[in-house]
Amino acid sequence: MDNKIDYQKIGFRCGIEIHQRLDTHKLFCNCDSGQKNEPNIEIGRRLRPVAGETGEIDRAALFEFLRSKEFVYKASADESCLVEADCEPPHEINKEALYIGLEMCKMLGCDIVDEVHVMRKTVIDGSNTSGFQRTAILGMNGFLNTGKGGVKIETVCIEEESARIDEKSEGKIVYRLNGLGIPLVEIATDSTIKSPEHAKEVAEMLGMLLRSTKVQRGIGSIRQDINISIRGGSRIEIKGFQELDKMPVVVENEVKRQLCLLGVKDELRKIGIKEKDFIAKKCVTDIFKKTECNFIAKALKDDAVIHSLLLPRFSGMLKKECGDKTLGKELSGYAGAHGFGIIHSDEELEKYKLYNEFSELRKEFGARQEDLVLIIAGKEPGVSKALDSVLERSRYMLVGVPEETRMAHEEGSKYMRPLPGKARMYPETDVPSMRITKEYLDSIAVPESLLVKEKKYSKEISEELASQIIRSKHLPMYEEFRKEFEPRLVAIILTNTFKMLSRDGHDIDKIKKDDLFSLFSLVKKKTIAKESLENALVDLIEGKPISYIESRYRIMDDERIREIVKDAIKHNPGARESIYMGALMQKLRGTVSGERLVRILREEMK
Amino acid sequence: MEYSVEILGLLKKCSVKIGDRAVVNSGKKEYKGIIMPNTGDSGCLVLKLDNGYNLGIELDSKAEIKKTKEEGAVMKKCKREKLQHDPSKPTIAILHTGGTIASRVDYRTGGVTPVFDAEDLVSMVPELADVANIRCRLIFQMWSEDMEPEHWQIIAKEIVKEIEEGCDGIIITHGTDYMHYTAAALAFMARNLPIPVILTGSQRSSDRGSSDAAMNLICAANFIANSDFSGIAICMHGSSSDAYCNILPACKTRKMHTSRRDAFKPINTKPIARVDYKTGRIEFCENSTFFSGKNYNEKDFKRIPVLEIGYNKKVALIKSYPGMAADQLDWYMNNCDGVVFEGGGIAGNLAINVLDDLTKHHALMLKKLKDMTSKGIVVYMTSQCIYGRVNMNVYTTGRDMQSVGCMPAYMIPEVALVKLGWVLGRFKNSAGNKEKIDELMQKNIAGEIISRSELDEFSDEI
Repeated sequence: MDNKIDYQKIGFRCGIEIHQRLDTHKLFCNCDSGQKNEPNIEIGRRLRPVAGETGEIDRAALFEFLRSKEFVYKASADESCLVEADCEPPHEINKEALYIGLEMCKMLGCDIVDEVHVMRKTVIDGSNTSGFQRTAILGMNGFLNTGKGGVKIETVCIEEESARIDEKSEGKIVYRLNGLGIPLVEIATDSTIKSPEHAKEVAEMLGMLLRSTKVQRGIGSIRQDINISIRGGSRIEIKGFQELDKMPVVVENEVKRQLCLLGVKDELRKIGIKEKDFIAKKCVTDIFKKTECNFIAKALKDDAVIHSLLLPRFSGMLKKECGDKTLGKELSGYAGAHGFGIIHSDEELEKYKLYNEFSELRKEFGARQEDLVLIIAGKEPGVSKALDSVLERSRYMLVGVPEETRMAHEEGSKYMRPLPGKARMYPETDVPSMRITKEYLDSIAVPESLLVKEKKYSKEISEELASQIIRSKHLPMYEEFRKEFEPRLVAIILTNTFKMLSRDGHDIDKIKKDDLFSLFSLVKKKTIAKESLENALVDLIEGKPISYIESRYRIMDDERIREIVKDAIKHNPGARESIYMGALMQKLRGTVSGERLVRILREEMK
Repeated sequence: MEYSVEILGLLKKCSVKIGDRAVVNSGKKEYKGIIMPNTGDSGCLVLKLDNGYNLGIELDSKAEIKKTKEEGAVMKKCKREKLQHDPSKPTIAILHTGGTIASRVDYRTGGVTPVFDAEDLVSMVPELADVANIRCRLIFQMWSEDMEPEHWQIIAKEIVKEIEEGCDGIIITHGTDYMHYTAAALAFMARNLPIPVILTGSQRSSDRGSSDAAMNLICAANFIANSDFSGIAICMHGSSSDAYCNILPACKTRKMHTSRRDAFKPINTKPIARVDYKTGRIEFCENSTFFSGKNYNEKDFKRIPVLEIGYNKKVALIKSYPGMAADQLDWYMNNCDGVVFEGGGIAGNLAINVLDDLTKHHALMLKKLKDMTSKGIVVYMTSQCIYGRVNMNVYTTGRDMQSVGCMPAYMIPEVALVKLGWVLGRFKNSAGNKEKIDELMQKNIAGEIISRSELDEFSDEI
């Protein structure tokens, strides 16, 4: 797909921001970063615009927005403390987190700051109880080499994770406090990523480097945001990539979306459409009073009003492909942000039983055949806001690509909100600055990167296994066990066997590291056979002690086996070897290697 | 903090000022940004990069700074609209004494400037204008820990001045650490007030979106505009949530937490009222001893304020502790006219009993107490329990202390101190006045003494 677009020619610019959670306690207090208790406390708060933002944004609008929003923070009292609740000043910065951040700076060859200054980055969506996020720059001007070329690392920062939304309703957002304050390292590349595939490669390599240090694993522990623009287009930020494999197609579709929007702009300008040709008509509810369309009738019964919009010469246009979606989705996304949908005349109006009403609406507008009309139905005041925002977006078709934050969705993305302005930052005066001395920096050893490890382990356990184990959360266990036991066996158990057991519904988290060590020791001492490991693990998960496993799977000596074999032959004389083997293997499950059993069986069958 | 001589010298040599945009060559690396005031601690130059981050740069002997462009951009001023007087609304006078109940952040330098005039304040807290006509005056700009009793006297006079000028209520903004001292002092000094005078402050500074400042101000204004209360009270958050503020009695309130929004708690009583932030609803706690003790006075514009600001600063508050040496009382003996002890338990017990070799020196404590009272120094006992009544008749220790002239003061220790200073401002502590002094100390003047301890008041629940 890539080769259809000449990325250099269209002025493709792309950069990645990666946020990685660190595996240590919170950044400015001593609470654990892995909180999972049910919340038992609720704190309700409101935020206000901080003066000083005046003149840069529409303060009145911001004020109104915040006045109507209540934020509720749910916390578990034994897990979250007053710092997270913004009831106590931050403690000193978590030294371990700082260390890990500096390790990353070193791995990426950054210039490291001489003194760390913690800043407050204003955040007013409630995701930070304080109204700001604490963040500090650690390094700049790093470099990452990838197969498809290098990118510059602009900044490496350490910052607080924000609180996660639990539920959202009109005028109220409920957050969980457990995530707030977890240390994050934020790595931002410059915008020289060359292609969608290159983006994936950069994200993947940064992820691998990050996982070479002490970081959290699993869902939500790493997030990638991508910034994309093309010549004539605008900067778009896409958040929320669930899987890296989707990244190239999402980026490509964003490029196609921008190309489409630029095409639409040219077309509209050519035929001389002006802003004033887009017309809104509010409260056309009467036209729909007697509608047979079920959902409209139901909405009207619920006191909804219907607003409408005329888009000049747009007939047929909303079906146009725009990235992986249609141009119509561009508009409906803006209504969607307010919780509403649109219905337009490019749709099958007969199916909705709205044909007559739309004909009426066209008359009302004095619309021509080539004009498109659309409606938005719902309750005030939200529905008026939705209309305004769709009107504004429609008019922007004459300008090009609006700057947006979008959410990765299917093969592309969907509209989230306008791109926020430059964050306002001011010093966090409650945290003293920290000097990074040369001696301290020298004491930080650059950890062996996973890429180096992968190469190293390939030699001892095969390339495929090495690639699996370095991506596994059990890597530290592998690195410890490989020194004692046969590396290949350890790797297989920690990857394939564990995966299989999980798939079968076993909770492998119940396997304790010490028990696993004992199990491998039994194999090493030849007390049990490695073939019995899988069953032994199931026993461990079910809570059986090691002593049980030891006696259950103890390898039998030849004499005992010979007796069992003789017995089997006696009970079923003259059978084929495979029949005996099947029955015996089931009986002796794991306590004897197949090889030995076959040898003894053959001897006895003679 | 100032920069080191070396950095200041380099800035001067390169003709670069703080706030200038410059290229800094540390001798090793080059950085671009705005030169910031020193907020670091280790002798680095602080620079603000274009991405908003600050960092510290270590400069070596080859370091150079080159100014790139005059940094003319100053923060844009708030759009100010002249406040219109609305005759249908009450008028509230806001007297600023310190703290930053309202402040503005300069994102360029990170500096925080307090906001004191009415237009700016209303532009930041527009809800105030919905409630009342606002006028503002700056009296002091100080931390509450720096306040002297003379400052209380000035505030008391300013209150009366505002009343004479005509208003429906007064809000006094104040640093929180010693706010309850000021509240008590004002309650003694400015009595018989026709209108409400509410002290408020903030536990989280107003340069952040989560500050409690605005809500405390709004609730105070609401209470003034929509209740018939008169006299001095404190208005602060009632819980950690931005849900309601408590209106707290001036002489029965104490800061009980270093950092929480709801740090101010009523002691041995309940809040006077609760003001809901969202709805503005005021709920009086009429079953509290503040009401049953007849401390609630309704607004009455005809009432003439009584201003008695005399204060004797030669008073002290002494906290007792195990191992306390009696000798240290010598200084107080020579420099004070009155002393309040914060002793142990119900009687404010001090170590006066000789029980073995180790406690022999306790005899000296009793002697010193006796010397103090014979010298004419008035000595009052309060309890470091904070909660609960003081009763010196319960143990022999208490009775022994009474026998040498110590007297109980059933008040929060800090309030006892303030009251003693105020009482001694009226009566010299001559032998002839001792009875008058004690009569006044034991009499409820401003809601500081409550004759009943109710069953459910060891909490702030209404």
